[in-house]
Amino acid sequence: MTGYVVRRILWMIPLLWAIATLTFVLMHAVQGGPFDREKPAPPSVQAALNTRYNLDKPVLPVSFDGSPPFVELTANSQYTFYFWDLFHFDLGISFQGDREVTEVLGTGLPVSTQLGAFAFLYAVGIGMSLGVIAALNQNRIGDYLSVFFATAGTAMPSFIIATFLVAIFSVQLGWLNVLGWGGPPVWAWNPSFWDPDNWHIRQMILPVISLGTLSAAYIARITRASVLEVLNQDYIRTARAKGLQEHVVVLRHTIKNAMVPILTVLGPILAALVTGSFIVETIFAINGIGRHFVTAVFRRDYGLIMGVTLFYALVVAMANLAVDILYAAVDPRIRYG
Amino acid sequence: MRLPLGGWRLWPAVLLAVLALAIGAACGGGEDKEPTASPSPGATTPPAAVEGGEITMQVSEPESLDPHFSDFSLDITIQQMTQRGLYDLLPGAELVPAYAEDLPDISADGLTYTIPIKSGMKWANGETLDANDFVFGIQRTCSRVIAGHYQYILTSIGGCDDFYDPEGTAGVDVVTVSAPDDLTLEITLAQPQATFKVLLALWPTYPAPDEALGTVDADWGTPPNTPCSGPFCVTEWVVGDHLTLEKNTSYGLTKAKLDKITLRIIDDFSVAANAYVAGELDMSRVDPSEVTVYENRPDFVKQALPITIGLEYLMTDPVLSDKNVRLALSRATDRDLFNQVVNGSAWIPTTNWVPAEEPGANELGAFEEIIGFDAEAAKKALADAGYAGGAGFPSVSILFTDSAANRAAGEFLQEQWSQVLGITVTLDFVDGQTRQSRFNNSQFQLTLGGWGHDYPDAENWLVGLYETGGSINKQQCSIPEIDDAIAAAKVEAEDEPRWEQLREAERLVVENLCGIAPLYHRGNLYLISPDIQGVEPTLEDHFWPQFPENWSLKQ
Repeated sequence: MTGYVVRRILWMIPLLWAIATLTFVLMHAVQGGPFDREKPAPPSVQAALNTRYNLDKPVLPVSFDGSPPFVELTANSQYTFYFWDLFHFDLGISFQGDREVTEVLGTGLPVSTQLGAFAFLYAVGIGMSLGVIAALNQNRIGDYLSVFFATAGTAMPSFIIATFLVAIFSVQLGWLNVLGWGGPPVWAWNPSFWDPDNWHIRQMILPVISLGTLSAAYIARITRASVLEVLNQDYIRTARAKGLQEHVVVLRHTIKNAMVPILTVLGPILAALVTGSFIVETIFAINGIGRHFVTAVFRRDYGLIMGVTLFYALVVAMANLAVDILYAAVDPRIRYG
Repeated sequence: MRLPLGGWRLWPAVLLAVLALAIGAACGGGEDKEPTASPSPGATTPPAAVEGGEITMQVSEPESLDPHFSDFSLDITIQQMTQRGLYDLLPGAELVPAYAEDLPDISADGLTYTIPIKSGMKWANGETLDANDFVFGIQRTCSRVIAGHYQYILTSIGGCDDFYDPEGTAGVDVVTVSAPDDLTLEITLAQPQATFKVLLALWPTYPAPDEALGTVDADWGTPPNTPCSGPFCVTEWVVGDHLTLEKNTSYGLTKAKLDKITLRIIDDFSVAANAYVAGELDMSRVDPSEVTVYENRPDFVKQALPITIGLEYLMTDPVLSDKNVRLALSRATDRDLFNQVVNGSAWIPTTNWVPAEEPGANELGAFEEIIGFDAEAAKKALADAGYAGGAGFPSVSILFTDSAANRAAGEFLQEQWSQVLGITVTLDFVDGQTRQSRFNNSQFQLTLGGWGHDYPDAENWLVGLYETGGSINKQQCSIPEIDDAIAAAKVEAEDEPRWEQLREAERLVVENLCGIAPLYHRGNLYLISPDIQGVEPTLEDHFWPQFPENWSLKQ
């Protein structure tokens, strides 16, 4: 197992390099640059800005020519500069205030991670509960209500849910807040993370529900199907025949054996949730990494696009590795060489 | 297995109760957070201002706090809150001394401007603010390292272009701005410019602390260490979340009444307006598409600004190079109906390019009879172009930045031109940067765009935009008579003859539809808490009204 994990981690290096290169090329291939304004600037200003931010350099270190030697290499390219800095763990700057990308990520990541984590807990708690209830009450009212929730949650986009919740609970009733995330924008090792005064539940409820409902609905459907399959297994019939209480049959035998397909989807769901949601973060004006990423794409903020993309890629790769490890923990038949 | 919670009969009741609550809350006249009462009608004495207090207002994400670099209207607003220059600019190009002691003394040849500086002024960090800081500020704007977006408006200053040239090697000494003594600023122009005086109120001429920064190319820094010469200072900037502005106790001009202003970064105006109604913001912008939702509220404010939006033509396009085609499209557009349907009647329909309140502008409606809506005239013009009834009219596309408002505008134009002219146009919606890039590279046929002034003078609406080869003439307008009128205006030292030439230039641009068919003048929409007083919109505002030092809470 240790060797497997080490090999997977080492493979992430060329994977991340490939993703970064592809993103870099695509990013510069899209028309429009960071300083294309609605109010056009004179060519002299464009030239000065390009020089200031090295945007006047060739994008790639390789260029092709119609005459020999046909291929020209240069170290004086935007690609070279960027990856040289990246090799030194420098993600460059964001064009928003010339701030370090690491600083922007540092404020946005804790927020998105907290929001995603709470949404994940909500999705897993609600989704698995409804899925188990549905499976245990197949073709009865509990099953119908759970399937209704699953279908509605899947059909309604998060911005519809969010807008609906804001209109009712914030604007009309004034029970809950519209703006912001109610947790401190720091990681758990920061002492202020554990100060109750820095947590505001009224600001957390609507974003968590808006973000997590779609995933909860999906988990409910997967859980229902998986539990139903396990309930029809011989060993469950044997457990009941042995006289075990129903809650023991469900909690110890059924759910555990139904977890493999559920775990398969939990990994990507967790990765998607903790890396932020542009829609939810925009509707609630949450300073998260999802909003930063989409805004960076629209503004052609190259440094921030690259930084967030690399982070996303790393999170997805790590999440998939974690899921693979959990497979082995849950199912003793699965072993890695 | 039994369901928890007492069995299945309870579940429908619970579900129905939740639905009833939701429907009742959504449809009922719940506690609509109407603002508290405004001063009663007929009252002549405003409520006493309260010293202190804090407010929260909405902004979008700024790009830079450096006044010598910026060009975003939001950035300029924040700089007007946290910096102050030689003069304040009021509508009609009225200059009111700020850090200057008096209006500039201009030499007889119009080349040398001598400005006295108030004594005893200080930066927020306690350092002396004097003429040397204004020299430093202008040098920063002209610096190729700083690469200020608005360097081009200071092009008249000797050496400014040379110091800015990224390929050049000229040093800061070539810029002809100096401080003969600590309280005198002297600026020498390479050629006279009648409007230069107005530029002394704009952000590219704001001071920069020579002692704190050290060199002209030094970075402006990040809060709380950014230089501050205005009534408020930026003490915190959490990217994507908020900026905190606190009262500058060292400010030597009109001290702020509020202690703190929190600028909440909310890019979506609809979200901000919801937050305002929910009581989480004291001031919010309103999206024009929602004007009918908020326009009847007593705290709703509509502000006119010198901004013109119109249909922009690429003059080198084979179809649009024909004036009759351009005229047909303009005369087939009912601007009143457009404003009603697309803008919710929020703005002012127009056929003027230069807003009528600008010095040197033609009067409102001067071109209505020539390019305004007239279906029959439109059909005739199209027939004169050889496309009677729309027959044989080639495919033409309109380029838009993708937004709800622009989609409405595109569909309106498409439908109206189909009805009036019998032609079909395609709509091309792209993201903002792509639209900007295509416009800047003249890769379009038609697009919806416009201009908002940098300073109040018709010159700013014409020079560089409609001269042949002008640096921002992206529509490729080229009419010799326009070039002649603009050239004649440039050499006029007196305002009235200069403005006469500019009016003629505007007339030629509009009547020939040389790259533009104006559609409407637009402004800003706000929701402002009635608990706040002193917010006075003017035509020289940007994202928010100026002079936050006058804002206060009511007693």
